[in-house]
Amino acid sequence: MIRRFFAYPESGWALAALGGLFATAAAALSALGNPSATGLCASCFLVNVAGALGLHAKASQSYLRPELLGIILGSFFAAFAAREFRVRGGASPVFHFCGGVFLLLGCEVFIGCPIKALLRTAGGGAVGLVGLAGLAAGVLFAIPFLRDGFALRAKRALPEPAGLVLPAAAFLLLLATSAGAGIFAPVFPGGEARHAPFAVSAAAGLIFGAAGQRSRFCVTGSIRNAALARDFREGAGTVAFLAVATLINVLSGVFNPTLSLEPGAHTDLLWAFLAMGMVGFGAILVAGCPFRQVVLASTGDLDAVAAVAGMLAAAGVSVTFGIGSSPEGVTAAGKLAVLGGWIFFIASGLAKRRAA
Amino acid sequence: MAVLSGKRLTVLGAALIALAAAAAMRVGVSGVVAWTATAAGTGAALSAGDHVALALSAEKRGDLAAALSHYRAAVSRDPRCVDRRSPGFLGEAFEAKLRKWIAGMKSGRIAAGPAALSDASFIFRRMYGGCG
Repeated sequence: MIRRFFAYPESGWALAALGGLFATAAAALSALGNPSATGLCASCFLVNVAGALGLHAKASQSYLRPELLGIILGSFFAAFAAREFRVRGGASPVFHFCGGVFLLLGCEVFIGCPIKALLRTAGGGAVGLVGLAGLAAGVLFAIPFLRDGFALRAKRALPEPAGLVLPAAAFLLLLATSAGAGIFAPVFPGGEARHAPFAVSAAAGLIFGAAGQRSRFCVTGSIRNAALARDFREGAGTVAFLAVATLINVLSGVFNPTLSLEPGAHTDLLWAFLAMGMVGFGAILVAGCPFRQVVLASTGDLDAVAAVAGMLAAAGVSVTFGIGSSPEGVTAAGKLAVLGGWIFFIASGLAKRRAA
Repeated sequence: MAVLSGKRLTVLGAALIALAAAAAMRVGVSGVVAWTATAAGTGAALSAGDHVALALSAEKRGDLAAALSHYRAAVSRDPRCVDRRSPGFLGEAFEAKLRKWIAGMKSGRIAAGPAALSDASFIFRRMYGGCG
């Protein structure tokens, strides 16, 4: 039964069950110490890791997140076990890098990745809901580009060692963090970001990674498949994630329908919509939301590695230059980043169409 | 087949790029103006500690709107005021007071005006959540 469950992760029920599992683990991490609605947020985790690696100096947003390292290792092991680890790339790595930069900046302006948009909505946040609507609108806007022949160059097989760099780096960083502050403290001084206990975070990250790799969990991808191919199986996972997270919040008394009292959020609905719209549109062009890019990068996709590198670099830039939003609102630099992202993705979408 | 394809999609895309570029110009200009005004005004600005002192004084007078305005200014200058991990945290007593004020203003038991509710909501949002 269990074997069959994991052997056919593409069935709607299995994907819904995995979506529910993701939501439960995310809620548990928030309850155990992660910031509100940040049990699973690829962009926040990248910002924290960027700080821990010295790419920005804001201690309150710095922490070598075991969740992110766990996602990388979990995806790697799952792909390896399923014989899906294949090193490939060459489909416009520069586009992926720049795309990664704008995806992260869009997430920072909204304050969270598409998965966090689900978690914020599940907590009752009106801005989260508007961001989710923007995300869906952005994905739908990308559909005509796909139908009109948008395509990147075909990926080609590349030497295997190149695909092992990211999982190896994640393993060493996880080892360094788990070995304690003693030896590695001068290298990774830690950080002050709120977090759940290390072992729980690492274990949850491994589950997120392995389940994410097997299920192809991707919020933007699920909307695209539903709109483009009328395939609602991945959508079942996304809907189950939202439903289970909402249920947990209602049962635990955390659910609070609000515009002005959403923890850590700003109240600028227009820019929340535009930022997540840009993320939704861009995620379709680069073939995956930030979480999916991390998972793909861990399974040997070097274009996704370029996207993750872009996101990591953007995380440092965003905090250093105040591009990301805060409860005070959206900054002028953040608005420029969103508009720049729209220009970049639309121009790329137009330029990379091929004769259908 | 599709309404949005070929030339139509190109025209729409070009129009949206032009719109985004125009909006970026406008945001850029207004951002520079705001930044210049802020930079010019920072010389005479009070510190977070000064604002907390003024807020406490306003609280004693019973002027909740003024108190919340000063607390907001303090938090804007130094967000560690509402960070539980910081030694500069205003304390759990303040957290409890803030929740009570918000509930009171929302229910109408406390009449301090919409600006006060906005200030309190800002401090509440700042206290929880975020990316770290």
